[in-house]
Amino acid sequence: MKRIGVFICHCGRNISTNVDIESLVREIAKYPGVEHCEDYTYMCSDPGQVIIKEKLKEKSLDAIVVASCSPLLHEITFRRAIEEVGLNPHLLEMANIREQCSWIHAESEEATKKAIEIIKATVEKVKYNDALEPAKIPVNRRALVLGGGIAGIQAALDIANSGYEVILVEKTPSVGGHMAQLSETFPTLDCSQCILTPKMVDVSHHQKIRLYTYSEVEELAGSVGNFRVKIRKKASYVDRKKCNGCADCEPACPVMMVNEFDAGLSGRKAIYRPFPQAVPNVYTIDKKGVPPCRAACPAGVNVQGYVALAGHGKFEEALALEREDNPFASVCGRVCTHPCETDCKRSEYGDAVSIRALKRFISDYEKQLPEHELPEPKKQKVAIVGAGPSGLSCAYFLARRGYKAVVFEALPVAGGMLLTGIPEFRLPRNNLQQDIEYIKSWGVDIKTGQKIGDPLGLLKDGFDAVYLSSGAHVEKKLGIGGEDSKGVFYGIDFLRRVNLGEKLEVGERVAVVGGGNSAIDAARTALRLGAKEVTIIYRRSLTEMPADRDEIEEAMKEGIKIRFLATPVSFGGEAGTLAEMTCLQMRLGLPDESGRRRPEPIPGSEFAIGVDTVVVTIGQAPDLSYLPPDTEISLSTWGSILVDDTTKQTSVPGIFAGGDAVRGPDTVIWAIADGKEAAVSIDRYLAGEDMKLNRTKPEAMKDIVLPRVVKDNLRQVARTMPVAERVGCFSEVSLGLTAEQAKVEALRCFACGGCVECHECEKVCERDAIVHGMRSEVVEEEVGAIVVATGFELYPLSKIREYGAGKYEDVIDGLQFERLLSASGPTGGEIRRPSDNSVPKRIAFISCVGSREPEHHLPYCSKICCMYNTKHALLYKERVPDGEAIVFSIDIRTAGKNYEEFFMRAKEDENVLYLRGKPSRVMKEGSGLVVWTTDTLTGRPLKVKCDMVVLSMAVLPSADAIALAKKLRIQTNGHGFFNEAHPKLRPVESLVPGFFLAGCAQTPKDIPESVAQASAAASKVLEMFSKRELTAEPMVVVIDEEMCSCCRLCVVTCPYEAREIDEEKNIVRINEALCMGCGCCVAACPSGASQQKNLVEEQISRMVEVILGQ
Amino acid sequence: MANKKNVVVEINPEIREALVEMGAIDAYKCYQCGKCASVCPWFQVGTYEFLVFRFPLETVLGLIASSEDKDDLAKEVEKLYRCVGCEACVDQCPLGVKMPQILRSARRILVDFGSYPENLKSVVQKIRNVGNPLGELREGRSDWASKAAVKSFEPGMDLMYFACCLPSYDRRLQNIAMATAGLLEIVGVDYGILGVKESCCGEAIRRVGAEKVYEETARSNIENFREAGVSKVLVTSPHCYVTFKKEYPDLGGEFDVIHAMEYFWDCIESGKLTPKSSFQKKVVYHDPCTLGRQSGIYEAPRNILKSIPGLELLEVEDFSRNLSLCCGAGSGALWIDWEKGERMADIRIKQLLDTGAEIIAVACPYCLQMFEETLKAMGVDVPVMDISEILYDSIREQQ
Repeated sequence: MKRIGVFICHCGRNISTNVDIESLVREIAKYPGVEHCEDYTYMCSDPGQVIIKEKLKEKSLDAIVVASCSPLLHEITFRRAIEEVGLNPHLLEMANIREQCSWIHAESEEATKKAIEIIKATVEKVKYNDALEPAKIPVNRRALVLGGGIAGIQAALDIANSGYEVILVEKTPSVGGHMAQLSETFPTLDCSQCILTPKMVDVSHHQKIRLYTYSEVEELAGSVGNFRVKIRKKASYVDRKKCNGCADCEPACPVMMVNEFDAGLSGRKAIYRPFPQAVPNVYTIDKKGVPPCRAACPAGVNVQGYVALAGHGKFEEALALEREDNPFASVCGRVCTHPCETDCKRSEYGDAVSIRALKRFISDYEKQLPEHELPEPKKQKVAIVGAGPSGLSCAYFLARRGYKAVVFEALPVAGGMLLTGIPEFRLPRNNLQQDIEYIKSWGVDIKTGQKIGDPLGLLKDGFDAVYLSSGAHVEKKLGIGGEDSKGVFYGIDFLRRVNLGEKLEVGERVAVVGGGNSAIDAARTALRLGAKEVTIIYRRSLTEMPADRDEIEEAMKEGIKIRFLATPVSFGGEAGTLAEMTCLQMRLGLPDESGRRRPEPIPGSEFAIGVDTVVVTIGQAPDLSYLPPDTEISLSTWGSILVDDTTKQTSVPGIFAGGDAVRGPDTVIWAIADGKEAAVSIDRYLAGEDMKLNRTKPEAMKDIVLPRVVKDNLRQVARTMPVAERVGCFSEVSLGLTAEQAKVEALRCFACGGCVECHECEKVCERDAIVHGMRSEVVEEEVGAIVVATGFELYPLSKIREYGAGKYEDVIDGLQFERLLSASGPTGGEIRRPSDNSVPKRIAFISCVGSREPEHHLPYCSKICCMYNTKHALLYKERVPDGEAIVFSIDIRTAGKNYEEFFMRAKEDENVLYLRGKPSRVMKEGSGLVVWTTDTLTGRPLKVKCDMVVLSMAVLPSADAIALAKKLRIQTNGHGFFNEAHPKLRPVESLVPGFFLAGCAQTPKDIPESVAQASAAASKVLEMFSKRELTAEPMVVVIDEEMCSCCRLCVVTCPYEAREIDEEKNIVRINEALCMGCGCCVAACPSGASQQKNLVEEQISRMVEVILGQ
Repeated sequence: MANKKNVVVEINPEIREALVEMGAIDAYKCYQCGKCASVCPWFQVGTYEFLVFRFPLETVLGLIASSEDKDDLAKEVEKLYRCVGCEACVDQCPLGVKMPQILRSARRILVDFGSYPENLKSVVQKIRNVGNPLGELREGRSDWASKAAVKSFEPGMDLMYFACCLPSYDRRLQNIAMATAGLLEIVGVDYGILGVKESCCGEAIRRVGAEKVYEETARSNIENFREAGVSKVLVTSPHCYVTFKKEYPDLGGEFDVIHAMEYFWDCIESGKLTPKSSFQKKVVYHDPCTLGRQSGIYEAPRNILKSIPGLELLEVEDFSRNLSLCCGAGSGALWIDWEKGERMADIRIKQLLDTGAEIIAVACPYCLQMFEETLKAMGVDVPVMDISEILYDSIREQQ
């Protein structure tokens, strides 16, 4: 039985006011086990501690309870005291009768009763306490600094200069952070870059600093003193050892992207260096992902790539790049249904980039076929049935791989539906021929006028594989009365006959039934054949019409009428000659499975129209009559060939199929895509490889970086042939873009995906530093301490709608103004308006934008804005002496050395006008802007005209701070700023041991404060590194090996990964260095095998019993 | 306001406490940035008689209605009744101060002392006596419905249609109620009206400060709705909408309230209504404050208009959706005559006409009345139509 001493503190009057100390002492002294009980006014004071020490010796006490305040305050004090006289500190417990008792009870009697219970319970606990010895943890004396801004640089240099190794990780390609973007700094107006660059260079040359730029922390394991960190070095696609920053690659790159360093005020190439003084001085290629246009293209054409090259005037290179994925440039440049344009990000902000017209332009630009080397020929031969777009594409891609591709075509000419189904005024023959000639230039052999029997025979005839692309040429019929009248045509037949040169005659009144492109083509063809009145009859409305908008528009311009919501029910006339068509009026019901609203007939709404000729174009089906009736190739119930979706292989190995023969009537680009995919499969089939491996189509990237302000620059429209000249003439209607138009149009591209892999940079890099195939790499480092200095970003302008941000070019944020001021900025340090490059004569600076706005934005003060917009106003007045600077603010907060003086200098010397009040609106007025506000001091409503508005945007922690906090397992506040251990006494440490904080990652602050905090964090790291070992809190968890069943519940529960499995004994073990004594596992353990030292189950139940009076 | 003319004032905690008690609690939040004053419609009118940002400070200082001078007080009353309750300030306030509530608490004191505009006194009296602000007979409330053969609400019906006082009595505005009834007929929903058992929703008089009369009126509605077995209420006026939806629950009246715009857009989406006959007109939509800012319903009215074939929908640049300018009829202002040059409707009409619109579309009877009167005074022949009317026209003709 322990001899326990209880010492009760009055805490001045804090405890004694509400707790009757006298009766407390009397009561406790009687409690079993208590050898001594005594009170004192201030037990924590020196005399108080002396009392404890003396009584301990005098009465040979071997456990102590101090009843006073929270253990957070004085546990260490008392433990040290008893340690001095030789008692193990863990034999002391504190009973908190202040915070948990006297402070929260008004009534003395209740409080005293509760105090007695608290003390008795603590006595019970201490009875079972063991003497514990702290564990020793070796310290790895290397530090990791996260973030290469001024705070990270300072912390890294301070630690390194003290002789310890530092790993500095920066996510962008250069160190420097936001400070590198600033022009001058307040209040001294030092040049920011001039004072920063020497430090940046120091960091890169320091013997003790290992710099990882363009890198991010991937994973962190371990705990204080012994962290293991995995760092992902992102692929920069430029060999950082070879690159010497010569900048030759920059002009060669055609891809213009948003320049982050200039805060979006200028552009940069996809191969870039953030700024000329970047450290390290190397280039990086920005590959963001697969752009939406390319992902949307069934054939996966490198759309952004050829658009970028065209914008750069590299038309031939653009065409070559396009043909890597699609040989039909000239065809698709005219008739493709362009899914790329539908998904083009620009279409969300007006018109999509006119991609198809650009493709046409680059194909028209070609004067003669390019010369190219043929690949090493392979011995296998592939037969292709049908010389339409699908078959020819398959042949082309096989030929580029070295196979002998032979195409069999039943008609006397090649081209398939491109030739027979599309009228010349949309696709001139010579343009189709251009693509076919190009395909032939790769050695593709086209045998026209050869109808094939059983495809299986081809396999026997020496071909190693077959691709069936025989198209869909069987017309669908309406199935109504009078359909066999003279004058009723079917679309495909009608178009084929005209396209193959037959002189067809049509009547004066022509009706075309259907709503697809073929219907429009037939109608426009009829018009050119001399019809006076052409009407399209379509059963749904314009919204549901599948034909191309452009084509519909052209048709309407030519005078073709469209009658929506109508369907024919019978044809009439005399002696089998057509004279009229009876139709029913329709209305739209609920959407059907195609998502389009279903047309329903309105009963009794019949009406008749007079017609001489009707062309029915309501669809086609594959013509597979050439297959033997008992063919082994599986067919669908509606008569198309069945293939595997990915490989395009039919049920017969070695026979593949695609295009309309599989799909039914579909678009050119899908036919091409099928041919291309089949070629990949055939190549693998013939090489004996897995046909399905890695065939998934890449998804479009998200998080597209948009220009700062999306200007509604309109898309370039190709000229067209005048309507009056079109009738009776089959010349091409669209005349295409001019070279000038093409360049302008191409530059409208947002360059969503970044680098397009056009390899232009490779051609000019003399040091062969470009490595397009580079992969990101993970390195592992071991460190003992981590400084988090991940910095800040500005609240996005797009969230401040009332000030026209993101809408008006001349509404910018503070960082953008900083770039305008900077000598290295887009204007070379001259203040110019982004919209028209003029010098603004009056600038409105608006404070607290997003800050101090709990209702809509952020509740906190961003601290630095008052000072930096004062600096902006002052520098503006220096650069533009006749300009007027007006600052709109609620308060001016100038707490800092020389800050108020700086503010007064702006007012007195530079006559900056400060108006008190928060503006409500910024709107366009003429060529300038107008700010609506109230001067709250005079009470005057004001409409302030100005030329430019600079918004002092709120400061946010960097976007990935919260994700990083999760990786590091340290805390942030609700906004993502890292939490310090104590707001006053431990401001640069995280609550989790081993982590230190610096700069704006903790809270918004200016440069002097960031630097001071960085040095402070470094000194805390050095304090830790001054010891070889750390002592760990011994109150860790132990496992009762007998009871542990190795259920591993504790392993998943433990937040510190302090568990290991002993496979041999089939039990769990604790890593005492990692265990933080949080007790989560104790609660989780179903058998009670996990027990925390000095807080075992027995102790807890005894305490509960005492408190419950049992 | 000075306690007396031209003297230094003292803080008056009694008035402060009274105002706070009546709902002006937000006055403590305000940091006087003045943003409210430049989004306030009076800013566009161009007066600085009404500097809204000063009220919170005047509240915490206890200066509101503290003057003993009659002229001062009269001027102050005039000022306090300038707030049209459009909530443009609430929408933009960085701190979420509910300014109209502060004004309302001041008005409550004025009403208690009987010191408020005569026109409004009469409106409050009429609502108390006959349940509508026009002073029309209670019995006449369902006259419009008998013309349109609308049934009386019976238990078990899907919907109770509450037409609002103005469309129930006003000859022009009755057309909105009839169009709504016509549309409901086409939808085929089983609905009825309460007719003589309805009273004004009470929104306007509550904002005028007549809290007691509001409560009496509201309680009588709640009781009548309950007795009749109403669970779902369809409303034409956004003013009834916010009152039923946000304020009646405080008095125990919980009903499923839906605005005609939302209801009809739902019907179009689900194929129950199909706008068809072409309406080849340029239409500008005016967001009523109470439907837009205060209820967050911006899309449904636009979607309905866009679904009408041929209709070209125009927007007032810079001043639409939450930045729409009030017609000037809210919070009792419908019954106050401002001097020429001080009328919000004049400015709003100019903004609306500048778009080149041939028709002005609204979704609130107050706005409609204000705009028609304004256009008449201007001698401009541009029709103002409720969207229900436009929609009904476009569907009725196909039937």
